[in-house]
Amino acid sequence: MSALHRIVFLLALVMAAASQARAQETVEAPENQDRIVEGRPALYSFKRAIHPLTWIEAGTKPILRLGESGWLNRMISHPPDKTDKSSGVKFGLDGVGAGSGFGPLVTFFKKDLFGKGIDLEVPLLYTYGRYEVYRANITFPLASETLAGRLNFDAGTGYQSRANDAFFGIGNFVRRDVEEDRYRTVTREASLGFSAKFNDRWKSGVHETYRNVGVTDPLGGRSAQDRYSASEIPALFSGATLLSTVFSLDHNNKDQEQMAAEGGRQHVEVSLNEGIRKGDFSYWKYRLDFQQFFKLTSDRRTVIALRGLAETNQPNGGSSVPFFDMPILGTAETLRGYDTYRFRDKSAVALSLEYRYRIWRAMDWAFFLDEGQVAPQIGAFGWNRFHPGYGVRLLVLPKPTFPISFDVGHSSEKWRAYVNFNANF
Amino acid sequence: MKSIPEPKERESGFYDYFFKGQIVEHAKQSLDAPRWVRRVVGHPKQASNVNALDEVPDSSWYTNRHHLHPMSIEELVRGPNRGGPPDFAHATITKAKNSGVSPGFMLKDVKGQSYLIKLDNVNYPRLQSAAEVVSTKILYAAGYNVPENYVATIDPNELEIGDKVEITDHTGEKRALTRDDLDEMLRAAAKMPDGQYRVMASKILPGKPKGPFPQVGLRIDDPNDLIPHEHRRELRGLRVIASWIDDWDLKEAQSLDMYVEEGGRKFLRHYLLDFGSSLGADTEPTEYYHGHEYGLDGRSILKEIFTLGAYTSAGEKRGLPVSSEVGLLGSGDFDPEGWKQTYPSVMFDNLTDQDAFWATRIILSFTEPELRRMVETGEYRDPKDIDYIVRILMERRQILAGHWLRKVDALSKFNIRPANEGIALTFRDLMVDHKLALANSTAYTYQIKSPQYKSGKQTTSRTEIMIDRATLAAAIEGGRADSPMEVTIWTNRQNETFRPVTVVFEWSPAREAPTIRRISRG
Repeated sequence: MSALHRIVFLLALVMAAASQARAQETVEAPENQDRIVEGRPALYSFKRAIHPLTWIEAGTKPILRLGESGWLNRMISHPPDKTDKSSGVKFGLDGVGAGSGFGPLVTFFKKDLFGKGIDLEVPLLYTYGRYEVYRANITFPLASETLAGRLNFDAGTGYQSRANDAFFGIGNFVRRDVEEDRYRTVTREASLGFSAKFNDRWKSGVHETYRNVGVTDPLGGRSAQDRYSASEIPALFSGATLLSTVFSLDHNNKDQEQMAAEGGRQHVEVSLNEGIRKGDFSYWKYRLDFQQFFKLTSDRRTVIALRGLAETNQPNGGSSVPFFDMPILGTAETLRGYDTYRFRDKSAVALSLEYRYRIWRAMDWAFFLDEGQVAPQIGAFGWNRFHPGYGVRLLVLPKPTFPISFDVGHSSEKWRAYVNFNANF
Repeated sequence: MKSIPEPKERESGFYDYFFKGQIVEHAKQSLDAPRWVRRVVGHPKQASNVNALDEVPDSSWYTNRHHLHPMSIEELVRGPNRGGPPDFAHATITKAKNSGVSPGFMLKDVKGQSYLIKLDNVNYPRLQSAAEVVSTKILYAAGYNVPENYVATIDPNELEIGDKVEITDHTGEKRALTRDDLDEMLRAAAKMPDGQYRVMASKILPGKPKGPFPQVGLRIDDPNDLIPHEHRRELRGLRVIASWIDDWDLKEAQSLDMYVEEGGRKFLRHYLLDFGSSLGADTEPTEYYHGHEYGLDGRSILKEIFTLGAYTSAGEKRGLPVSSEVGLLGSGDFDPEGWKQTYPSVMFDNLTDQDAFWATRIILSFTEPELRRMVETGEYRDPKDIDYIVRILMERRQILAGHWLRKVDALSKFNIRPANEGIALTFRDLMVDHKLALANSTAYTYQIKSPQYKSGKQTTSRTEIMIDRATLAAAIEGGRADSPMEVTIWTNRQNETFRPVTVVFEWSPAREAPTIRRISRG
């Protein structure tokens, strides 16, 4: 709608409101003399009609009505019970990590395929940042009554396009330019392996993964390939084809999955990664993620939450580590208050400390302090090399499986706001 | 009231009501500079539909009942009910609702009268139905238009499902109601030992439904609707009466305009509906935060944020239900000014001390025996529950009175009559009458004025002011014989002087009796 059309439209609305107000003021004299007033207050409806907030209300009304009469109302009145369904489609909202934006996640699933306990899942995600993830995962139960609890054979394949990731270079003190460099990775992967769930707390897995990662120009912004040379950034031009053997161990004793007050979650991962094409890449990756929660009051309203990350990549011989496989700081999970993907190197440590307290039903407020640094090797870490970030956080749980967090972080470099529709911490 | 053309049915959705009440109207209030000025200088906008005697005149919204025209016990017990109780033997289901918070259906009894049936929760028999029936009686006696609500019993085996009765299944599709659906619906309802179901039957209101009335603004399509609803005293004062019975669910959908024909005129009559969330009840015992906080209470949230979690809002507290039939009702933490209905509304925010005083007078018009008989209509199983509710209502009433009567001069029921030596102005001191102040430590300072006369201030400890002939003569001397005169009274209690009340009356030697023309407070 052009500016002229808008003005004409607004004038028409005001005139309509004015004529309505005039009509109200000419209400004929009351027949009943007991009346307290003789007519409506002068210009009452006109003043209400021209109030900008009335217009906002009028504008939102159709949307709210639509929500109430349609699917949203049905979702609230009769939330579909997905747990009992053996097959179908799940709809959600998700992202692909930091900077990807959000988009619809459509997951096709089929449980107990052929009556053999085989589960198939095909999640498809496309975000407004044009990030794409399409995967297919299948799980075959091998044994369900063993010492290992339930043992599965897993297979999966997927395509992922990260359209526009930021790149600031490698190192703990890399410069921050006005215009960030960017790159795009396209990954095709397949994996096979075993996973075991020992009990409700412990699980483990061994998987062999094939990844073919291509690096190209980003879908927007300046390409990192225009600034850096192949010798400076491993795999920036070549990409990499990697065969990885990954061992993982998970422990989870959180008292509840969302808004936990006690317990924690630990994830340890060790992998050997070998480049089979596109370059000399061979390295061991050691990674530890953890979350830990400590209730401060017996009513569990006040909690100290800790989250940490430690990762190091140890090249074998004279090999190198592809830049896209290095740990990164500067996301909603690590070092808030900085640009996305601000720091990366072969090793990284990060710690988040949050003081959380309940401010409403299913709503927590938190103050957080983040610290983190990256280094080329473990020995290069130092107390004076940490980057601090701090801020506040609002955690909302509108549905038990739908945690949303709104974070505002600040650092010496900038303010950042984060919205996370799948906040697991 | 005049005949009006039939208005369209007004639609109201919960989301846009919530958005309007929670955000839009509150933002408008915050941006309303004159409102702030009036607030700062202590002169908030008073209700527009108050007559010279500080009362709300009868209208399609409100009828003065018990506090001005005391009702008999029988009338109080009967409440709005006009016909006999419904007989649901061989009744027919004509509509059903299996979604939402409270499933229910509509029944047509053998006389052809339709009733909306509400079921009690299977774990809480009598809880909601009793509360709704009792609150209906109280609100009716207070003057509001309410439906005829009955405690009734139904035998599912005797119910017939009418043709074309549909329900919406879990996929959102409509289909015919079956006996299995009915059984499913009743499985969640409280059943009596004899296999019957005790229900709350709400008689369908006479006239054509035209949707709920807006809590702010006017119904443009109702030419009789001249006073913005947020400035109607009976609606502002409803907050006080609702706080008394803890009727926290006062959203727009809990009202209904009916297009009726009465006395040859067609007009909208405005009803309040659905009182099942009162007197400690809801589908389950009411949650603690109801009455203490809004459903989404920004102020509480900010308090929690800025106290780093040290402050615990009502939303996080849990109450201990009194019993399965009473739910969660108490008086210990009742704060008349801090009481909040669950959904914010400008209509209630506009409550002034004068509005609250008016509502408090209504509440004080109920005696304990009257309340007891009204509570008994809830047909609670355990007499102790009746005792408890009556006790709590009396305690909350005292707390309310103690709070709101102190905000204004608590003098009421003014009467003026000829006396031997002149005229006598009598009144009641509600603080003294209700044992909130001691008579022997209360004094009334008064001053008599006319356009050309002002007496000195005098003090009396009696609730009767004698104006002798000499004063009357002085007051009318040099002016018109029927000039209005006024008596301004300041109440003093233990060194505290309250805001005055002024009674304006007309008197002349030729008149047989003086007449009160206006009462103004503050």
